[in-house]
Amino acid sequence: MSQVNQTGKLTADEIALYDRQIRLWGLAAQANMRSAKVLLINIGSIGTEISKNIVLSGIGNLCVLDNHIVREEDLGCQFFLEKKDVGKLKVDVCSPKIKDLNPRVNLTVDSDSLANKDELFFKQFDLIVATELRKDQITELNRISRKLNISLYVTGSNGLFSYIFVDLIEFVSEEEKLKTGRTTLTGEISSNRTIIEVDTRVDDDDPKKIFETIKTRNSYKPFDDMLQTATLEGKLTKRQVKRVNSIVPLTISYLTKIPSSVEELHKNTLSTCDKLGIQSSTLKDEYIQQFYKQANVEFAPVAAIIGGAVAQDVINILGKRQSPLNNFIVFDGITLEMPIYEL
Amino acid sequence: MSSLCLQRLQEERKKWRKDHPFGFFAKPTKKADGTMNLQKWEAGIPGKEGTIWHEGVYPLTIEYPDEYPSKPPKVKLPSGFYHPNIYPSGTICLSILNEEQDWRPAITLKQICLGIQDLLDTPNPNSPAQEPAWRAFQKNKAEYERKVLLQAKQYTK
Amino acid sequence: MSRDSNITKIIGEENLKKLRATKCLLIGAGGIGSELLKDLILMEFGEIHLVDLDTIDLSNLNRQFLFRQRDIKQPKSTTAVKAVQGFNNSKLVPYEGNIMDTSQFPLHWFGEFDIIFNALDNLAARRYVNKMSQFLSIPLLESGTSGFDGYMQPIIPNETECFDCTKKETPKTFPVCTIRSTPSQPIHCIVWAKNFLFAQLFAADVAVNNDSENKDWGTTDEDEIKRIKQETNELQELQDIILSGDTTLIPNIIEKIFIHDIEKLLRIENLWKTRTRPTPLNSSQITTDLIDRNLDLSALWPIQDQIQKFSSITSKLMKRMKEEDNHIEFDKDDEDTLEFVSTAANIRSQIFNIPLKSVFDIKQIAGNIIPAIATTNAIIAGLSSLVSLRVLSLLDFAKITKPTDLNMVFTAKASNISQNRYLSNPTLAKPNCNCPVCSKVVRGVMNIQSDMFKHLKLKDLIITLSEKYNFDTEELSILDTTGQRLLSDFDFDSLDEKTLEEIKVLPGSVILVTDETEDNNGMGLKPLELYIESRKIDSRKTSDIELPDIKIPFVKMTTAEEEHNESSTQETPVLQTNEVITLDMDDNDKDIKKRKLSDESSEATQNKKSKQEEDDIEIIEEDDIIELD
Repeated sequence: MSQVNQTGKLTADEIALYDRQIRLWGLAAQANMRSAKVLLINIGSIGTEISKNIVLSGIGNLCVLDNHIVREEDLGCQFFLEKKDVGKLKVDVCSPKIKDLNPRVNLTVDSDSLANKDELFFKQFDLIVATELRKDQITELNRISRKLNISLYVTGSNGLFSYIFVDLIEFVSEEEKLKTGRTTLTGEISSNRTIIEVDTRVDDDDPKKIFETIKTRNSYKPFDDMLQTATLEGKLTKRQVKRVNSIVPLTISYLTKIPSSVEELHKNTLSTCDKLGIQSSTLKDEYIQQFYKQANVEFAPVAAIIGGAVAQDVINILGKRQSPLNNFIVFDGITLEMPIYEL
Repeated sequence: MSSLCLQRLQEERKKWRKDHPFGFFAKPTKKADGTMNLQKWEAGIPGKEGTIWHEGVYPLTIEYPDEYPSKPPKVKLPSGFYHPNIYPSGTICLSILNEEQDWRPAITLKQICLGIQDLLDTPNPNSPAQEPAWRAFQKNKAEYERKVLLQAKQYTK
Repeated sequence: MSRDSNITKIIGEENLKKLRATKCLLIGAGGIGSELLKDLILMEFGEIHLVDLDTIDLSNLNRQFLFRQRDIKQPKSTTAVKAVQGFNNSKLVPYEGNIMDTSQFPLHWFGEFDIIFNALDNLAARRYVNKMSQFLSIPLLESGTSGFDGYMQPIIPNETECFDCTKKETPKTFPVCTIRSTPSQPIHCIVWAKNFLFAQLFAADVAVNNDSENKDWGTTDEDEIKRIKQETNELQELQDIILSGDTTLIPNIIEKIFIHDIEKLLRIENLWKTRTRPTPLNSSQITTDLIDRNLDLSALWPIQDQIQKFSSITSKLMKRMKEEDNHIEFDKDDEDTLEFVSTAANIRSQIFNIPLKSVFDIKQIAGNIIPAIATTNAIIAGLSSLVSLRVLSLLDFAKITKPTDLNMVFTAKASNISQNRYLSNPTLAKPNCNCPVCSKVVRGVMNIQSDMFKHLKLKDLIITLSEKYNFDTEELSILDTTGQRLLSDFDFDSLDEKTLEEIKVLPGSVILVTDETEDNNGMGLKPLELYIESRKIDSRKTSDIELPDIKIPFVKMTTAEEEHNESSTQETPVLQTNEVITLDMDDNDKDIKKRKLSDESSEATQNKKSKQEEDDIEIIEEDDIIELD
């Protein structure tokens, strides 16, 4: 990441405005956020939520790339849009509204098509969040983001269901937590994460409290690799394997190939189950039906949840706080389950 | 205030009615509107027989916070009370009345009153709360006893 | 395609019609409330009534996305409703008011709603709304956030745990001994500076000196009286200096609290056997420089700056006392009071070898500020609005067979509880049989004809109640739960002849009626809680008091003592203070839970034993909200 560290001091006004979050992540992280440059691709329901969250939190620079026209059905899931906006370019409608949320943020919009963008364009950014893209678009974008060493978040809506894919290439996170019981050891903790350093610190205020600072190296995979090699084998206990939510294989199967019928979705998902190493009996029929029916449907409450989770992770990695998501997350809006898998 | 607090205070009253130690009294105070305030009580603690405290019945105020019984009541003797573990304001330094120490939600009013009666004659020199009584108790027992007896007369039964 | 084509694909046309006919109550237009309002509108809820008592503040703008700089000081509820007009398609009704105000929001008003969304920031209001939902059996979606942590809990009255079924963590208190004599952490000094020093000097009721002259001191010994006087009001002389307005005496204040009082503590040798002895200030450190300088509030000032600032701020506050009727309350947003408390706390910290803190940090502790961010609020509001579809039975393909099939949620990844799930989603638990709200009382509504409050006597009420429910009049206790007022019991009948109006038992009052009779087996009648509503004058009705037809159960009376003893053996070990617990990250099968709550303003944290599969670990978090003696 080309993190420009202009830790120019925050002004008293900024400290007052961001008071309630500075108390959570500190002045340094807030200052880091001010220098960040983020690209948001597509401002649909999740994109709207993400832009709201990161702009409110004081991200320095945001660019929105979207060439869609406002449609009637967008009004039911995107709060920047009004009836009178139908037929206009989305970015033109959203731009003043985003700006109004926080005039301190440097906002640019671009209504060019994603396909027209070259490396030079992407090079300007530290981080890309892409929403509602097809597999081929994601693959190409991910190729560029890897080449330019830019962090990438990909997310999309399927009605009550949704997913997040993360590729930070390699990311060392530092977290501090209260030590309770046993000491954290260095070494591999999961297929994508290794603890590389552990320090302890005694709390200034209360000498009885000891904090551990844990440095973790997170490794990631490109989107295509993930789709091809995704497996849960060896990563879950037997009981967990039995309880894998149907949305996991359904989402992967749908991302890999868009089916032309519900039967095809069913068939494809069965082979995804196989690849993942989960039993096809875990696949629930009503989920297959609903997933097919709701694929690509945008839904406001789900967008709020996913947009919140993505924006929070973006803020965390810009502020270098908390370990980042790694690397595939699905959400089931029925049971409210939201597992994180390293695929 | 929580329902738990209210129900528990009502129960404390019921329990005290059924069973309280001889010579003690405890009841809710009256509010200006004539109703009884279950969150603020008055009590009297007799000094133990055979001790320098026995002549007095010492008045307590007990205030129950909204978070009672998760939190202990605030119990006070009159301000200026002469005792090594009583703050000048009358606040009592007693472990069962401290949330971080020995307070438990099951502790009853009766136990509190008996605990304070005990404390009167067995001060804890390791938790001093006022200098004069603490110093006299440590260094000049005669002076200490004279003052305790004098104070007992002030609160005579 | 139309605006509602997406939601139709998800819930179907029939259910969309039902949703459009649904009337919901949203309480709170702050962090979660703004988000919920947006979500509920986009979901096509028919009617949304929005209540908030607050006005907009600068520090809200980092997350309450409906508000702008230009809206500061405007009411939240009406401003929010204006802000959503562009995308709104529902009937919106804003109210400025406190949800606990029974004249604006009587019980029957709550009764108009199909579902209630709580987006509150304090324990008292949460408890109140929970109780109203129990009175009316209306589903309640409770939620809260604190920084990265959040939770959302559906409450289906009589079927699932209510808000009060689990113990709520309350602000932490400190032993008075620690605060007054032996501080060992910054917070002890902050509590001392705020709740003791500041309160005594600027916010105490001014003592009437004459009174002390005539007081019976129990002795005629002059020295003794002097001692008692001194000890009784330790800070009397300092109060006198503050009131005199003579700023040349400020050095005397510093000398007293930071030198003499510390020397006095040093003389109590027992205190320092196992502790580091404090070092009083040196009199040469005291300054007469009263010029107020601007210093960086997020930096740590050296001790000399602390002393100088303490002096100049004291001088400023002394001048203000004259203009403000000799009474100034501590307010975190009143910079003078904040800087007074900060510098006093830091000077005391220095004396006791405790690390100093910046004004910015002290503001958080002294002002009980809870961090709050847009993302957690958005997630929790999204979950709350989403689960409402199942609560209202609008998802045909995911119908619940029983209310305990519903899920509650709390943040897991963000709260460092789990690395392999973003949210924890246990199914709901049945009501706790010891719950003081939903299990230990029976509940109903009592209607009294509106003109009768000034005629009916308490005695009449007692007789009517006893006749209806077979109570023993002699053993009946009546409590007004608002104000904790005992109105009548076995030993207290002096109000029995008063009218309901005289004793302020009015529409909106909730009374608790208990027959204290117990048989030999410790069995008795469950207490009865009645909400009093006023009924229009109706000549056809024969009785002035209408009581609900409830059969009051005869049950075993467990005492609180027994309950606590029971629960103490059942409960898993509980941690005090700010600790997040044991993360068994490598043991994927362990479901680790936590519930923490509280949000944007003061108020408490909740902890709750969640029930989901086997491996429960209970985690309690507590915000360091302080309270003293």
